[in-house]
Amino acid sequence: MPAVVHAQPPPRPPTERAEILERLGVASLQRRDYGEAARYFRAAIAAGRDHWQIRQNLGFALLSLDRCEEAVNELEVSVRQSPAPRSFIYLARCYERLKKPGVAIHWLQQTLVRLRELPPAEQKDVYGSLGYLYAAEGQNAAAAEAWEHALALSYDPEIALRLGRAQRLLGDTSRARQTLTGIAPERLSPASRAVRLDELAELFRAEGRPTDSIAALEEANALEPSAHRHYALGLAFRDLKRYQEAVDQLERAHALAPDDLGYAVALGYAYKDAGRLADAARVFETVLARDPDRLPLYQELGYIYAALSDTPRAVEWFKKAIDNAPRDPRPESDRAEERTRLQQEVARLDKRFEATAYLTYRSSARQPSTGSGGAVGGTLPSQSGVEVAYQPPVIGFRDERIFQVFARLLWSFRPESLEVDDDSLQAGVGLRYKPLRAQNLFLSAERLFAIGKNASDDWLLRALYSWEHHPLLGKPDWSHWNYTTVFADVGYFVERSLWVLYGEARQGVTFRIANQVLLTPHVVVDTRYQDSRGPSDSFVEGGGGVSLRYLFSESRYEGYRGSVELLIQYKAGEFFNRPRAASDGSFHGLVLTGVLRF
Amino acid sequence: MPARRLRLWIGLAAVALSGGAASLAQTPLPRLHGTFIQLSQAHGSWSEDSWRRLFGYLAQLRALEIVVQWTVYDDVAFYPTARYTQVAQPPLETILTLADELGMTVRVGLAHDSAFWSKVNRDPASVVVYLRGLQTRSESVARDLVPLVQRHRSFRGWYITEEIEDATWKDPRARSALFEYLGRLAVSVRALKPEASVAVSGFSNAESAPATFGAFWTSLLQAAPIDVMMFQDGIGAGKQRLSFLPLYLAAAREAAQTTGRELQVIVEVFQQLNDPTGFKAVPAPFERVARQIDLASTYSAARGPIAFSIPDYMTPLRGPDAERLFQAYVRSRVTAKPD
Repeated sequence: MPAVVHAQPPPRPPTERAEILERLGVASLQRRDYGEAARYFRAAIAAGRDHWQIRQNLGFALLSLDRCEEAVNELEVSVRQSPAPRSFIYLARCYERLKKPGVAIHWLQQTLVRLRELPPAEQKDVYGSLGYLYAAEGQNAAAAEAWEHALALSYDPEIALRLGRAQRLLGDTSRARQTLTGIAPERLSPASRAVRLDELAELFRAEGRPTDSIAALEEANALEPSAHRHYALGLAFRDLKRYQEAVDQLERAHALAPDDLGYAVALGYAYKDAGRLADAARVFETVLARDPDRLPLYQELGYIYAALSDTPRAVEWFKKAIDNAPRDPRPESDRAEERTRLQQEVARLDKRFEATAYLTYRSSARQPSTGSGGAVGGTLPSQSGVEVAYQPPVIGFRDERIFQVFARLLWSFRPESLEVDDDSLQAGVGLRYKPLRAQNLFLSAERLFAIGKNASDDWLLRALYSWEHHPLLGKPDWSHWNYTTVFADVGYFVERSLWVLYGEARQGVTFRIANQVLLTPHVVVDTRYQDSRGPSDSFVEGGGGVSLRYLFSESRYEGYRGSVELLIQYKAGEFFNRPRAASDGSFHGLVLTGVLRF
Repeated sequence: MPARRLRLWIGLAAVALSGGAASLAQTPLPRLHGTFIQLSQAHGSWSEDSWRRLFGYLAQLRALEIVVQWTVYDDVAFYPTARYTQVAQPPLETILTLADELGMTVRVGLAHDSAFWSKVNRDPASVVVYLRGLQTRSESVARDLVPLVQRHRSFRGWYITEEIEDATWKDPRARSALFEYLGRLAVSVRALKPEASVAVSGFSNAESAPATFGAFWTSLLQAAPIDVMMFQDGIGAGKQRLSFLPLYLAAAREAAQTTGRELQVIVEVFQQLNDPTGFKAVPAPFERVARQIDLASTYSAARGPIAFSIPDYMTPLRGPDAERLFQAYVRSRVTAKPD
């Protein structure tokens, strides 16, 4: 039996084998068997068949398998051999998935150069993708342009929605409205329908139609509830001063996204608006614990605790706000102004004692025997005096209401001298209370003790009011500023049933002649009226003068705690039916006053 | 033609070709101009001899410029100071002295906050406040350093330690805060030593398109008087690929040229490992580093690219892989290139 020889088919030439492998790869691609396709294409390349198309196909297979790192290697080889626009698109998709959107934009921009080589559907896809990528970069104009091109190729409600948003962000509200209202909502997904309503709500808000804005947001929230929509609703209700609804919405936003500190801050302000100060404080403190760089909240907490009459905490937060000054990015003038204001808050809240002493010299015996000590003298006619006031803790300062205990000693000088007139010595001890938050009105009850024989033993009930146009120090960058003060004092001596009124007004300009030295030329008018039963004078006087004030004892948290003031005034006036006056009742002369405040 | 003669011709041709190759090899291949030094607590215990050994290797590599990445890291200072916790043997003075001796220049980094990346990804209003705090801190460090650095002829300028990338600053308010921060800090440190230049570095995650990246840096350099823009090539950290890096390098160069500033490219000579527990890296293969250097040199200013970092990844002090990279570089770029 002859031996049978099974002849082996001759091996195929390499080129033919490679071509077959490539065809198998293409067939696998058509079957969407990308793994198999990639294996065949790689084998074909290894077998010597290497050209741009096989690299493109291999790149596409790998892209479909989400093996983008490998895909870009193949696609980059492909585009080096032949710059085919479809390879650019694949590269863009790969880089988008590799979180390199900047490179994806580059490849899509390359595609635009040869866009006509692609069918319209792919052209639209290129423009659509480019729009998304531009929008993510914040380039809304470029995004809008790309999406307009996409829509020109064929209408797509999802792209139109993005275009409308880009137009709104670009400030083109009329075109945005046109684009957004032109979309048939039923052609959008539920999520996109909600986004469309969000956009319309923003447009309504910009147009000053808050109610329509709220309606749109509520509809959006019904479609797809989200923290952001609750937040937007909360802000809209706040704008309308519907504080309880604002709180409800912002509480929901905060509950859904507790890590979003922006929502928490908005909730804190909503609580504050609604009068829920303790809740506001709690939220703000939580925010600051997580983000200490939210500087406005420090003083906000100071004011909230002051309003809650928790003075120690208020002082603590105001002091922290003062300590933040070096981190405050605002201009130095704004920071200094705020620092001064905060220091005044701390000084008011943290005050325990204050002392005032004044001393007045009048050049003429015919002048009235009153000084210019403001509240220290007031209804009691005295040329000089000392007062010490004590503001007790807890009850001393509660939500801008102030309670103080004070004691004072007043006296006058003998005419045209600085010799104390012992007969004029007057002592007093009393309580005073500031009942109004915003107005500087004090009510006081004081027991007067006569030390000199011309003094009184009596009860004095007083109401004192003062107002000034600018704070003492003006603004830090001002060289000069307006100076207006008004002081009014009404007193009733109970045992003698005697009414006394005293008032003074000054108008001038304050010049900062050095950091701690203020010079204030001014005009002054003051008047005193006393029921005829009393022994003192009733008069009106006016004149001009200067005040030179030196500030001292600066503290980090309270600013300047002390000042010395020299008042030089020349006044002329007239008594009301007083025998001491000249025959015509008039008087005039120099008035020198020194005031120490500490 | 007899076989022997044929072999001779082939031999001659080979000689000619190898001669050609030799002359090609002698065309100056670009070198690294210098390196960053990233100071850590460990450097606080280095003796002067340790620093001399390192600088000996730097000299072998013909490094001419040192960038000390920071002199304060959080609360740790690398110079003598009472304001922060200084390391046992503060190395800054030694670095400057050795650079003086070896004819190198030193750019001195200011303060760095390790929480920078988390802090700048917050509400822009908070970022503004945070940057103001950084400014104050770096200014005070620069003031502290002036008496020390001005004793050394090697001192060239300041390095602002915050690295600027293209993902964080898209919000216009945050961007404006950044520009203001860099502007203020650059102005104030320049006032301390007017002849000292100011540098800041940046990189791209390829989050923005090259043109957008370039426009961002153009605006930044127009807003802040920064002299040197240092662009990290991002190859070692995987932020960039060699295939698209030239797009960003070109954009960076355009920004520098438009604003009249200097561009210096930072070549990452490491390969970051995929480790979720933190940053880990090994020395990169020389072939890749060589391609990076060649590319970086095309875009860097005359002084050439700078490595990140030779002390960590490219000296025999850091193990066999680093030694291999060192030796390959010396063979290719130092001994093959006459000074």
